[in-house]
Amino acid sequence: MIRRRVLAAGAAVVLAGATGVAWATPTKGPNIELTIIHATYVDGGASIDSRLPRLPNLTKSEPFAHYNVFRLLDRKELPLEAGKPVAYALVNGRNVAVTLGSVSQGDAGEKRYQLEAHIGEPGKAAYLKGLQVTLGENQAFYVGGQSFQGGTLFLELVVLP
Amino acid sequence: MSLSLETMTELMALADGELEGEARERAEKLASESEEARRVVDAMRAPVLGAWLAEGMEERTAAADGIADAVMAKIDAARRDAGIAGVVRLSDARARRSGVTRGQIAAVAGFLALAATIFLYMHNDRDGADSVAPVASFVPTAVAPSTEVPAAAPASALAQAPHVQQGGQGVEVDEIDSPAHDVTVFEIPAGGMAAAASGGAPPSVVIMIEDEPVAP
Repeated sequence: MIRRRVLAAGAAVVLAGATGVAWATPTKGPNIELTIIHATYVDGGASIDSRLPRLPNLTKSEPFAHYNVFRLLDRKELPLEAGKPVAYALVNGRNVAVTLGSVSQGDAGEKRYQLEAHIGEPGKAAYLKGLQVTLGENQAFYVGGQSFQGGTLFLELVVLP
Repeated sequence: MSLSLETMTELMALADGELEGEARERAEKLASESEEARRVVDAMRAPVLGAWLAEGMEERTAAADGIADAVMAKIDAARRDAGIAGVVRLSDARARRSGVTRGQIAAVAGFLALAATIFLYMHNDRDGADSVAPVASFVPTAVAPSTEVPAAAPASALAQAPHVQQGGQGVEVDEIDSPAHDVTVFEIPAGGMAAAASGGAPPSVVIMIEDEPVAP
């Protein structure tokens, strides 16, 4: 079931990329904030883009500790609706799709969002065929590892209420 | 005066006839060879000083005991008349109290010794572990602790990711499916995120996926 949803999300991404469909725009309700970070290592110079407020607290932890320059490439806020994937084109030619699976309540009554993500490129094997995470509002998780311009891309995903 | 305090004490003990054996021989030799040492021994043995000291000490002890006993008896009697429990002699109370204190000190010292032993044992054990731990290809400075959890094996079609969760409040990774790429999951605990600075930020997760596909 989950796999089918992920595959559907991937298909939606490919379709959107192929047809040039106007993708989702921010609306009220839960949104997914997608931040694209370019991380590199430079001898003698460390810097973190001031528009990345979460990074300073993370850069001493693995795997961020391998890099010392973090640059914001792009940030998008996309509306989440259960079962409907939202897509975004990455700078390296791949597409990322995020689908809200369900919303549940945590131990303290807070909202918990189950997300499914897919990263792929038309005509090629999927880089990330499927990822399923559950997280609360304003909590961030990261997907890293895609090579880009001598460094690595980190995708920061946050559910905004 | 060039004699040390220990030597002086030993010479006084010699004068009082309290030394025996090797210590006595040593003190006597010192007294015979050192003018200063001999003067100390002679002064201690002088009848005037010795008698005066002895009498003075006896008088003081007797007077103090007499006064103390009289006062204690008076207070004791007054308290008995008033129906209050008997007076406890200060010296007895001190003795009892000091006995308890010594016991407490012994217990605390024992506890500290045990704690130090455990600490040293754990410290040595950890050092030993570090000495055999693999070294990364490059080690960034001041790397905060994070948990690396090997996730999906490249060959698996649909890998079940480890359940990364902290207190039900963090990010839970339920499933990762990336069959052609190596995947590593890093859990960043709240402590590593400087929770205070970020307003109590919850723990986070980083999913690292190798860009190059692994060979089939």
